[in-house]
Amino acid sequence: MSQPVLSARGLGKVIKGRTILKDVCVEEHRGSVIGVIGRNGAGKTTLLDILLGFSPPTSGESKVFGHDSLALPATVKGRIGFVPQQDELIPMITGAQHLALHSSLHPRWNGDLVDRLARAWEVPLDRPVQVLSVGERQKLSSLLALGHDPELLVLDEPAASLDPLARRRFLQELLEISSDRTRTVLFSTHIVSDLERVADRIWILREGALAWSGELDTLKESVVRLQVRARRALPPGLALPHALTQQVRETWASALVSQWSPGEVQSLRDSLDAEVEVQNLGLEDLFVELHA
Amino acid sequence: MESAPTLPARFFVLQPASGVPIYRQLVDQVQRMVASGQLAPGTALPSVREVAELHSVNPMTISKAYALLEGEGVLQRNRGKAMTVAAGRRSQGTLAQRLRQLEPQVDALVLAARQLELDASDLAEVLRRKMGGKS
Amino acid sequence: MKPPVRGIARIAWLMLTWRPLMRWMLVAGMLLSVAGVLAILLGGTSFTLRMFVFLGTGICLLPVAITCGMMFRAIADSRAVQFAPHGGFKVFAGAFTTLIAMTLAAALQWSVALGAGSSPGFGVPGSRIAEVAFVDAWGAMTAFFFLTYYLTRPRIGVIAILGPLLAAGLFLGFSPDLHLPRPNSPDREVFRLFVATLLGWAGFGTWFLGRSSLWHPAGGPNTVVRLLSRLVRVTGRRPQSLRIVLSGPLDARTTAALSFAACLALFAFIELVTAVGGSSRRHGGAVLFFHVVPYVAVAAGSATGALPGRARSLWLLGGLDRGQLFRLAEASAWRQFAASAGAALLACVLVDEFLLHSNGTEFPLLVTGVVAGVSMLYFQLFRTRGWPVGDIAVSALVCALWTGGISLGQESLRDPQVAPWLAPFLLLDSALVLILRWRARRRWEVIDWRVCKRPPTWQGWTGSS
Repeated sequence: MSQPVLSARGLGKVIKGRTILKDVCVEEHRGSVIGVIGRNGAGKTTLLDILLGFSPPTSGESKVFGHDSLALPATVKGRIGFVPQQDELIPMITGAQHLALHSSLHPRWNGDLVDRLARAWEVPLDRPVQVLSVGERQKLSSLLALGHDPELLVLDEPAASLDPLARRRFLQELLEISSDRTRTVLFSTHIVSDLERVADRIWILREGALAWSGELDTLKESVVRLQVRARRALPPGLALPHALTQQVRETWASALVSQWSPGEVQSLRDSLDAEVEVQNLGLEDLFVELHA
Repeated sequence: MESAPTLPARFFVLQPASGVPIYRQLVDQVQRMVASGQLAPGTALPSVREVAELHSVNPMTISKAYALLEGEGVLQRNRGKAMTVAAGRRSQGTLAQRLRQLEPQVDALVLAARQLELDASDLAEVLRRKMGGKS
Repeated sequence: MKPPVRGIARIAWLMLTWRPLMRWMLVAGMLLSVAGVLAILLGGTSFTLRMFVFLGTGICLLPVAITCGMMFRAIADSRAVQFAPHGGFKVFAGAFTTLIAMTLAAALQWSVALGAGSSPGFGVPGSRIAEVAFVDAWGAMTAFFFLTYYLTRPRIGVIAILGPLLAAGLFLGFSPDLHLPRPNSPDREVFRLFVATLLGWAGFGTWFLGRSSLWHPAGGPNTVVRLLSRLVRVTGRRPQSLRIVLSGPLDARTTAALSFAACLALFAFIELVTAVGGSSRRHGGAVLFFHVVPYVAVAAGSATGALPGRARSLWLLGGLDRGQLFRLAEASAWRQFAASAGAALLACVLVDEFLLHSNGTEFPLLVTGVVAGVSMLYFQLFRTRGWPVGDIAVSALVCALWTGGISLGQESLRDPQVAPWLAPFLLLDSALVLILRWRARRRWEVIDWRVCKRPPTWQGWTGSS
């Protein structure tokens, strides 16, 4: 039973009276690629910030590599790579100078990886940051976070400003990096299609609470949409088992249910005396349904 | 020593955005290919890495599919070499198991039939006709 | 109201109140100064009441003064404004109206305060009070406007080079030492400098309204800062890596050199202006020049404000805990402060030693100025939570001590009524510094970078997208 890389228990955050996060509990182990999805304002960035110690939680605790996030020792910090949503680059100096700066701040620096990626991603290193486009700056930020071979890589909306080709290359690189299963990658995004390719675990944040966390495959298999067409009017107080969202209108009902297993369809048909259609949804549809 | 032909990675059609998880799509496709004879016993399957790279998906989901297929006896692992289709596995599992595999498609068919107000005998006729052509 | 007037009024209102903090300060300042004015009108003549008025108007004027140029540029740059009919004119008129309105309000109150009684130290002849008050206030507002306009994100243009010098000169010519005796030809000096402000506005207005604004993309690069950084080569000595992340590539030596050079240039300009006017070269020059120090010190202290937000980058990179980050930020702040304020101080002392020979009567001004700068430095380190009410109160205190320090420092060796206040004042200011440091240290232990964000001007200063 290895120590979890990330763990949070009862995490809550309130800023100026607004509840940003409530009672978030997660635990992730080495080697996973975790995607965090949620609407804008659902608390993704805040959650990432609290996990990494940038912000103290109002309640609960969060740990990285077994250490409390607010008091991470220097060695642990050296094992983390973070790409923030808004880059924190210094406008006046060039990409190459940034790399030199960061390499001097870390004991371990993988120059070959950095060179290879800079070429593959077409990141200009000889121009001052202030003249680079937003996509190029994002790529440079990612480069800086990867250079010291971090064991935990956290990316906040890393591909939001990249064109589809650049995004595909970026994701491939992420996969490549995490393929040996020693690195843990956590990234937040609202581009759901990227997640479906790359992530094996998902956290869904809805209004500050964790609506779902677990494996993506399990999510797709166990959260389904049911369309019920009954012969007689359905009782208005009908509560389908494990329904996350549901709508009932006379003889028709639609619901998003979790913890579904295929055997249940027959029992549901019998108990409701209705046609029950089970629809497996892609992640984007799941996401939209969840917020319906 | 016969040379084991390798199935190209692009033979698989993977849709990450589908409601069916990627590993399940792969498992289903391999099972259907083996059942229909497209994949002869001894054919080598493309490596996990190849499939993952071509389709830009997480390699773990591919290896999960392969492990599942190995568990069901459809594939066999050869030390140091690619996974190959296991011999003598034309009919895998009992009748009940195989029927269960088809259940999603049968459900969809039944639903569509009901919407079109067709009954079981209509469907049976169509099925017999379609399947009668094959052995 | 006719549409153009409505647009202008709205812009003027925006400039005065675009942050809640500014509204607070406006109200607080008004209350204070109006209270003082009423008391004086009802017969009070004490020094304290006068200080109330000056302090109150200072609090009202300060936020507008500091932000008007920046706000003006931000509004004028937006394409929506450029596409609106007569958009440029409305913005210009709005800004002008704001400044005139504030000036008149201040001048009115200052006239009352200055005119009350004939206590020593306020040696302005009675008949000229209103004029002097108006021109002083107007000059200060004009100077602040140009300074903030050009030092945020300027564009290339003829005025770009003259602007800062002109502004600084006017600024020093009219800085709030209203009780400076003007023994020689006050009429000519006041009139001449008033004309200078009008010329400045006319030139600026012509340039601004005449340019084909659609050709300039919104948000150009900071030309003045780029020019400056090209003139100054970063020295060969490589600054420590962590410090670059915190305070940028300019090292202390470069800052000091820049500051020293700027002070000397300023002094030359002032000499030019005051010598031409025929006023007492020795006395006028020294006092005016020494005023540089309080302003430079407070500006240098304010620059620390970016550090709490920027320290976020070092949390993971630097391997430091929050206490160590505080010490690093403090050291960095001191380095920059010592470089700029120290250079200004050095320039002052040298110029005084070799050219002015003022017998050191103005030295207390240097001391109070520097102490005010240090308290501003720690105040900025203390500000890690945005602007809660307590911080606003503390900022008012810091500002009050700064303005009070200028008056005190200037008069204390000349005016026996004022002299006993100097030592307690310095003690109070020093105590404030220590308390601020203690509280800042505590706050940094639990600094929340979700609330304490990186300052937006980090990008704005160098004009990136």
